[in-house]
Amino acid sequence: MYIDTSCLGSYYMQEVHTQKVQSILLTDDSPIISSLTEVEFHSMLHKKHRMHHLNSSQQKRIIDKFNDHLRAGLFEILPINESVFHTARWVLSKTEQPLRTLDSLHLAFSITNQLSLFSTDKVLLDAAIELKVDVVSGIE
Amino acid sequence: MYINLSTSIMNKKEINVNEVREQIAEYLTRAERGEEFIIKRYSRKIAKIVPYDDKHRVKLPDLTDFRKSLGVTSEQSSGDLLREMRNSDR
Repeated sequence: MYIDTSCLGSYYMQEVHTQKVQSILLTDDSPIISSLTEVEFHSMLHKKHRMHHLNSSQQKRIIDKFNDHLRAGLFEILPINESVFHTARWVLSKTEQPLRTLDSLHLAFSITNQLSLFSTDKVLLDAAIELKVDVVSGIE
Repeated sequence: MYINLSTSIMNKKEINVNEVREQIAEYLTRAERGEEFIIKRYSRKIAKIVPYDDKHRVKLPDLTDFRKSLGVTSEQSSGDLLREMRNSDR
């Protein structure tokens, strides 16, 4: 299962989808993220800090907890390789959804690695369904 | 090189690099069923193919207490914020 950055946020911070996201993550045997997910998660936390939705202490605690989980091998990190970039170009040509570069890369990562996509982002999920990418159900 | 699977693979636990190169799918299928193989380069043992053992894999923990202690109160979900960030890409 490929964990989108949106689900990481809901796992580490209390949000509307937190309970559902956590219940799915806790039962998954092999949660996988990409090197892109990791960077995007850090970027989102910095953005929340700049918007004063997180203070420095909260941001640090989340990053520390996330890094603890990475060191413990609780997430498997796979790289974004050339075949993912190639598939991303195909994704952009095959959907009517208003996808951006990052959307296409996340979808391409799922397709290339044959992983179900777990996201709370409706745009990403709609595009995944249109492209017949397997999605993890349960998030409205 | 032709190798008869029924006679060569089925009774062997030590395999050479060429056999791995030519029949990796077969060895992985058998590893999935629980078999282990030692890979040799010439006469030296250099690696193993073993079944992936996820029995002891530690799953992600319940973070309810962590989130409570964090005290984050933002109304905007990560999904909504990420959508804004992804849409800002031109």
